[in-house]
Amino acid sequence: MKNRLEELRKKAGITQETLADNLEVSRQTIGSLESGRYNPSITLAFKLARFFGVTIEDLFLYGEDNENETN
Amino acid sequence: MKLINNKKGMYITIIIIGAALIIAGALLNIFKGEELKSLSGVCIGLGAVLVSLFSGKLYVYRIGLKHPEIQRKKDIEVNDERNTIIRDKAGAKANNIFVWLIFAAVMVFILFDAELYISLVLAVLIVINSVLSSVYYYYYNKRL
Repeated sequence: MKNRLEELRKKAGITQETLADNLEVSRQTIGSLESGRYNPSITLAFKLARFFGVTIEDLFLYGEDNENETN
Repeated sequence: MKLINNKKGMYITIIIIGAALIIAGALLNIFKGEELKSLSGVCIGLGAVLVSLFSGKLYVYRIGLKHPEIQRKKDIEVNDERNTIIRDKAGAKANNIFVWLIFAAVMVFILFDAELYISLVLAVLIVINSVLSSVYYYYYNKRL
């Protein structure tokens, strides 16, 4: 699923490492999320949205091409 | 904290059990000799595995206590949701492949007229695997 994670992270001026550390996930998870290879759990999606002060819909861009997507 | 202490206690208990098994195996070897040679070997082998494996775990645990930041990073890596999914998927794939390998081994043993009990033991392992898969499927179907 496409998302604005990289854009928001860079806007906040933080590294993948810092974001991962704050959310208590691995740096690789942040990398995979940013590249769209991995879709997060609903809990992590909420944590990310809350961290950047946006809604989940603002962060993750759900489209028709995501309908059959799994991790 | 209680859980951490329990972890340390569990490691030490298992190391003691392992050491006791090694001693028991050695004593069996000395006093019973040929009579219980295989049992003695099993005791020493199992004991050695337990002592070495859990000594390592205890060492890592102690390092974690001395360096909480390293422990925290390790915990994050272990509990990371993506890593958990990867581990589960890898385990499931490996299990599937392993079942087919055992199945192939059964066929080979039958073709080469090996002892029947070897094929039967392997076949029972496949059946146990299928039963466990069904039990866990039912369990998670109810829970999730």
